[in-house]
Amino acid sequence: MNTTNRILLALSALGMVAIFAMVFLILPDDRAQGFVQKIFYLHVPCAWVSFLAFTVTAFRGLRYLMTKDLGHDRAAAASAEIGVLFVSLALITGSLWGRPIWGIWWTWDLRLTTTFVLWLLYVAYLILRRAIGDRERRAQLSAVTGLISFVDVIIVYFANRVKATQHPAPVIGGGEDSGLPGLFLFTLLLGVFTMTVFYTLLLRTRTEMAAIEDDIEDLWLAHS
Amino acid sequence: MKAFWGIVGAVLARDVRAEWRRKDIFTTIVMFGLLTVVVFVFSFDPSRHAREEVVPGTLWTAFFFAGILGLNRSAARDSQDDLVSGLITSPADRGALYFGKLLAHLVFMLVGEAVILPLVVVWFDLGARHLTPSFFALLALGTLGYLAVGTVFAVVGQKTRLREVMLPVLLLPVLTPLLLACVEGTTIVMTPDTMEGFGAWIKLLVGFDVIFLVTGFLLYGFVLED
Repeated sequence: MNTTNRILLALSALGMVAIFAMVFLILPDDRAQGFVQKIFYLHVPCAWVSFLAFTVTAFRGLRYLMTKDLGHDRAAAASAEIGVLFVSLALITGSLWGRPIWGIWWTWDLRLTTTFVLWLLYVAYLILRRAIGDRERRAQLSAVTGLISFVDVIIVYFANRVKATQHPAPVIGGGEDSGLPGLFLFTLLLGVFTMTVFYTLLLRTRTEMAAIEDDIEDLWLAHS
Repeated sequence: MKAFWGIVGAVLARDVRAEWRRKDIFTTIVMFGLLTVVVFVFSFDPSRHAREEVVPGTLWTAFFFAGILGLNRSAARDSQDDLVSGLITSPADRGALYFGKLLAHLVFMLVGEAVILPLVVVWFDLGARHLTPSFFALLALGTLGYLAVGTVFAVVGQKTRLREVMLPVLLLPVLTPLLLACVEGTTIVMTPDTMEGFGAWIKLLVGFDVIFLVTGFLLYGFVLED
């Protein structure tokens, strides 16, 4: 592991410890929702990282189409895998919150449904990758699919505004009453920062791994 | 510019001619669309539900599923005819090829819908009150947006090991906002005495169509050549 990855690993580990310290030891319980509300400090960063990851997938796909450099394709694929992981975590943490607060694990509310659609979009992207053997063809068709999916994500979030949703309104920048007092905001930002660092670490490692996988495949083909 | 539309016309004419001889896409769309309607009639007894509860979902599910089979048939036929290699060896503008294919699919889909819709009208007892210009606007915009994405993914699916299976897996999640707008819009049309909120869905549809027509136009070339 190189120095940059070591630093990223140390930062994410420290950040995680700090978040858990804030959640379990320092922040008071929410007046209306009690302790359950604190899952928010994991839920929001996970959702944020999934958006970041899918944006990176689209961007690296576009770079692939422009340069035909397979390194971009490997990064796009790695980012999509991590995005699916984090959107799954956002769905699971949301569900864990929904059960005590709404009384149900899941509802076919628009916001929840569209997050599930996000999951489907990128699972489909990963299925597509597994269904193509040739490396260049896979890179090309995945890049196109990644871009179309990303455009769709944007439209889906406009559709969210047309119909009322049961999901809580954005806490920051969501209207006049939104905003968080100091320590709460600090914890949220710490969560977002830590998860972003952790994402960067995962992305770097997974992309390096994909390059090694390709090398092994080439060696294997050359010897057989 | 004239050359561009010349290519669009040539691709369209070729596809329509091929379909006129074989009629397999037409048969696929109509048969599968009608079967989907029948499955829905058995699943949700229409005599026990209000029209606006059953018709929108039935109609759009039938069109969506029939469209997938039609698009797959079209892509499989092009692959058998080795049409794709013919198209990419030609110096034709890739965007023109996209619009040509899209228009051909639009013709097939609209002809299929023109057969399915009258039967739905009879079976669900729809009247002039339901078949308004707003309804046909939904139908046109919905079908166009559907094919704007479907035309690209049909070729993608055909180039994978999964072939026919890949298209719905890729296409249906992307179409969620379109399906939502079409079904919600149709529900408003079918509900008596109100058109409230209809404009927002039409706006969403127009936005979807424009964005994906541009995206398809720009990306179709990358899908053909790889």
